[in-house]
Amino acid sequence: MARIIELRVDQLEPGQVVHAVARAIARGEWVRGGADGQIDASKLGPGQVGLGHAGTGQASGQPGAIQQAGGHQGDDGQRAYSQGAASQGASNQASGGDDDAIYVVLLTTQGCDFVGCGLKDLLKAETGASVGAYGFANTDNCECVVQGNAGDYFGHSQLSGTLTVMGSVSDSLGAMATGGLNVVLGDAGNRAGVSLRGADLLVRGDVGSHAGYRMESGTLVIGGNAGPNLGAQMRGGSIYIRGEAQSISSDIEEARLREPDRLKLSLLLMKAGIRASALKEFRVYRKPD
Amino acid sequence: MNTKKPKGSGDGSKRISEGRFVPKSLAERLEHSPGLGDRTDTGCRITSQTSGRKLYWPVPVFTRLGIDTPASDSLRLVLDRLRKRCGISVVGNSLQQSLERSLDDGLSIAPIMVDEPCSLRSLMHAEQMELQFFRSRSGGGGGASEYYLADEWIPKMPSDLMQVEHLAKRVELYRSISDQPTVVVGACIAAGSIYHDVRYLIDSGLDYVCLLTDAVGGLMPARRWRFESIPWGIEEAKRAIADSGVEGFSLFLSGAIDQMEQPLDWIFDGVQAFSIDSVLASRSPAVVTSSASSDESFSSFLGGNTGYATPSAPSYDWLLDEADSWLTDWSSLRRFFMSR
Repeated sequence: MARIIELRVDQLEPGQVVHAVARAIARGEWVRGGADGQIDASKLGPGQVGLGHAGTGQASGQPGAIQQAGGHQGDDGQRAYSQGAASQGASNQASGGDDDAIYVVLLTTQGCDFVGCGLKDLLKAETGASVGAYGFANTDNCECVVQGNAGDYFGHSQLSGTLTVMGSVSDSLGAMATGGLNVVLGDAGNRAGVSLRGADLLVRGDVGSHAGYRMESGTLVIGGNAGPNLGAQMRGGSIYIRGEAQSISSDIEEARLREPDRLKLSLLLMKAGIRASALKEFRVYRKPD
Repeated sequence: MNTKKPKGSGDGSKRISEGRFVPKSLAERLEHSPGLGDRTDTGCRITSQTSGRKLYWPVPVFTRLGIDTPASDSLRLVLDRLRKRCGISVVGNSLQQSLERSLDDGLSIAPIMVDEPCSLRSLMHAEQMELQFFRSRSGGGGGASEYYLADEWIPKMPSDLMQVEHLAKRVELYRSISDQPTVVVGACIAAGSIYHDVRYLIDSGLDYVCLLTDAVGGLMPARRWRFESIPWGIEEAKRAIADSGVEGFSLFLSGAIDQMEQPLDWIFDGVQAFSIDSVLASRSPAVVTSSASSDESFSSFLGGNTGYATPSAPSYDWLLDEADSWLTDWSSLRRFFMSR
């Protein structure tokens, strides 16, 4: 049976999300829902975790499994929560049916740093607002969604899983990520994919300067344009770009877009939920052999 | 980080004989227990710059053998016992993840290679973390057994950190990940422009800096590398700390110890803790102990340690006895002297 955990990140110490989730899972320190699967979240204390017991209401996709708590929650978190995060989780549970699957709703204030750092093995984690620096850093086997923008170093050292930002991100997107997929539906700042170590990054919009800086392996897909010094000091991996780059570093050179490249692009776009059209408009850059 | 080579040379570690320390009077010594094994008065405290709380070290001694040598399970086991038996703090990933420890146990200092992906889960219960500003490469089988060999002792700025603010934010992340209230975060640097590097670290909100003036890599046999003049390094670091205006910033030193009195001089100079790796390396039962200057090829260090066949499954039990013996003697010596 899947579970829903509502976690008030803004009432925790920064970076303590992973502790709270781990504690909740390991010790069962959550408030269980009643017979109808509902939780009176107003009774939750600061930092306390509410567990929405997967009942018939959730299976039918109703968002009422967890009721919104009053008190310390900021407006952003409340608004985002009411947009149906829980219902999304419920539908995931209904389709998943995994006993150990956990769905976490991270209720944050706007721009909270270190949200979701170190999360591991969750069915899905979702923030109710924009996040600050180091959002979802070092996550492993999680599907995480940011309903808004993200700050610097989003997805730093990501190990596996999928991260999605519905808005734009600041600098150093996906730095040192070793695995998984990081999708930004808006734009990315400077040094996107810096020191990338094997993960796949996909930015639907534009990226700033020094994209792919010191990238070692992995894939950076840029759906829009790039700033200056694309691929500076790049040591490995591939950069796919659909638009234009202000300047391209001499450390990389354009390669012919072959069938494996098109397949990979199609796969990444499909995973990101983006229609894989105009693949021929992409160009690929790599370090010269 | 600036890789400018330092100026100055010379040991200058004979100051005990120059009168900086004098033995305690017999009357003073009689007031205390004469037990040679008593090390309770030799601890030190590292201050966290953010919380102001202090982390207690039972003895001001640490070892970096856990990360500067190929880390086998047998070595890690011995290092864990070293922490418990001698109170020596160990830089490296511990075998035992238990939080239960005696106040007399040394600390397990979690190393963080600044230019490698960070593993936050390994820091969840860390009492002390240390950023390693070296170029490095990963080894081992990956996962929990992964270790790092510092095969190039060159100051290394992480490629994803460009400014002090970036490092400050990263330090804040590391600090917040730990659930230990007294967690301290420091950095280890080697060579380079010490003054500017230390100022950079202080401005980034770190709690201490460890100067690596000498490196010891491998034990069977050991190789030693000397980068800096110790007095020059201490002087530059102290100047940087004083100029920063930050109080309570600690200074560690990993340098070559030729005489047992040398660490007393360092402590007198403001060093709070020091490494005994050079002592342990010099007492290694291995036949060959080589030394080299830092002008030689860095790439031959450790990873390319050709010409020295490492015995299979070496035993490190001798480390315990040697460390315990040296520490007992040094503690006695420390209690014997007092500063003017």
